[in-house]
Amino acid sequence: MLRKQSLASRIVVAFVLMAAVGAGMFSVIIINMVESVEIQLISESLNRHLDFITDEADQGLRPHLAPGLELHVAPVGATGSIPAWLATFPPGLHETESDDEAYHVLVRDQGGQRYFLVLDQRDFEHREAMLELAVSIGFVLAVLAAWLLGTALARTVIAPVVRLSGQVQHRDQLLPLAPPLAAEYADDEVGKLAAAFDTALGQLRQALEREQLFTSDVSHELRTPLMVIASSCELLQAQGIAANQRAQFERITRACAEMQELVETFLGLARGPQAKGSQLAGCSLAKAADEQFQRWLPEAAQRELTLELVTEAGDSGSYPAPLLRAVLANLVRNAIHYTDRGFVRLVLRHGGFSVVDSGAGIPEAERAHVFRPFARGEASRGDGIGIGLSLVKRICDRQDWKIALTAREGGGCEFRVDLRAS
Amino acid sequence: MPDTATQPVKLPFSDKYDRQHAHAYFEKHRDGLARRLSHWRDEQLARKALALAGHPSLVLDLPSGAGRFWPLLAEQPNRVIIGADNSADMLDVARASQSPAVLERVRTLQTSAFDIDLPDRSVDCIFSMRLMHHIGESGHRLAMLREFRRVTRDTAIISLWVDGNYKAWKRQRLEQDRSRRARRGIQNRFVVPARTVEQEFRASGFRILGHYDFLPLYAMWRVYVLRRAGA
Repeated sequence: MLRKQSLASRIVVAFVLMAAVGAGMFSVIIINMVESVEIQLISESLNRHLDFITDEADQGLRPHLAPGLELHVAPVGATGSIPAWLATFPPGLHETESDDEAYHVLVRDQGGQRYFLVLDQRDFEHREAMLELAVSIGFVLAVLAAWLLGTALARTVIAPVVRLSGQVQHRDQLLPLAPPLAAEYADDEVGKLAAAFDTALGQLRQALEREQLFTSDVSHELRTPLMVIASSCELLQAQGIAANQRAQFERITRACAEMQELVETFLGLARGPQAKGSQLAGCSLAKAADEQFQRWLPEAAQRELTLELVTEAGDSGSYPAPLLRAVLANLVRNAIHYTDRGFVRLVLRHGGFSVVDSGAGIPEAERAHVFRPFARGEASRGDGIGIGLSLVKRICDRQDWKIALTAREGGGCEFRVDLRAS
Repeated sequence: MPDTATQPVKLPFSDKYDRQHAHAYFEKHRDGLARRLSHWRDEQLARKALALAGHPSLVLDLPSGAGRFWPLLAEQPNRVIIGADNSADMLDVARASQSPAVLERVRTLQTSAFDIDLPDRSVDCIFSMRLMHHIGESGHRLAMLREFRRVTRDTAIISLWVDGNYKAWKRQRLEQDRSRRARRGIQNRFVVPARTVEQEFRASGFRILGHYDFLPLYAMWRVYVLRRAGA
């Protein structure tokens, strides 16, 4: 139960418990001590009183009794004249009750007579009640004081910790110009914790920056050689190629185009979420889809699959071309690779599209993992390193596009992409 | 409710803040004893609100206007201020009229409150003084609050006009006089029932930490301190 409470309330609870135990123990001890002392005092005073009475009786005087006292005297062994509730007591001090009144009874044998000195306890009980009241008020006050002190202490002691824990929540998303935390705290444990957070978050930010820089640098550096290859291919084609080299040549051209696309995509991703693809060239969904359809037709035909392009509804939006192209290309390629017979269908909707295939489908257990980098299904095929879908996922996350994978009735699966975040 | 998610909200009052108006606005809060007293009380409320918000260190002042609250915000030595306003002229005036020591701590940003040009959860606190009373329509207010919730990581401080006080009652009585209303031209300031606005705060994902009144039971100004609720 304690584990779920906040640090401050745990301190308060500890304070109150400690005070309750301490004050409770003292109260019990005080009450017991006072009671035993009181009994001793009563015993002494009754004895003294009885001494007095017997002295007076010896001198033949009528015994003089203080208020609240009662005396019964009878010869030892013949206590018939004594009230029944007293007669049975042996010598000594006793506590007893009669008619709802409590009494202290002192019994003593002296000179062949048995003396019964009876003191009613009203005074004694009154004093006892006062004592108990005082002790319980003290107890309550102690607990109350502990609660107040605990609350105040918890506030001042815990305040910096509470503040720091509030400040570090989602701090990674804070703008880089946010000031360091440590400067706001004293140079104590909390200050050190704040400094540690500053360092860790700083390193994280640097690492992210480095990664972004690296990706964009590499992409930039690759652009030029790729351009050289592409233009050389065009030149070669213009000069004419021998028929037996045509197949290889086309493969080179296609690979080069794919690489250029990838580089564009990585560059787009490296620009960071702030840019949101605003600097990238835009294109419509229909245009990009048609482009990919034309591109993958030959490969589909080669594998004896039907590649279909279905437009369910038109879409007027403009999307960053390289990113949309990368998503489409990866999904279609993926579908073609994992379908043995039947069809691969690209369905366009208003604000999104689906890639549907009649392939083996993806078992439910694996569906959650397909978007992770380097995850490949049980029935993985020869080429590809399994980065395609994770790239698709990254692009979708960045652009606030939604991507979902569902099983299609009658085998195969459907990747559904919504380009408009709701 | 208008589709505020896709359509940018543009309200007529935001057009009036050109350069000349901006200067006048800066001067407005400096002359006269009453104005100075009122500014002093504004600052007092702002200080209390910032303390309740846990002394945030990265504050988005939106709208910053002529930077009236920048010196106050800069009182906390470690604080960085993003002064944002819909009007670039206003920001120029603010930059020209504040001291270099204060300006050192301020980054200016020209942006609309309905589409803040900052990533999600990028500031500790949004400090929005005297903006919400310009927004009469609940849909617009909700759109702005949702945008605030997107951008703030922790808290928002918002001042506006609420009912339940003498001034609001008087205003309402005056407004019942239609001919008077016609003479006043377009209305660009609104009193919102406290209950309504508190419901709107909750509906847009904020928890109310507390509020301070400018003059309880008399004035309409109230400052709310809100904390982002949920994940």
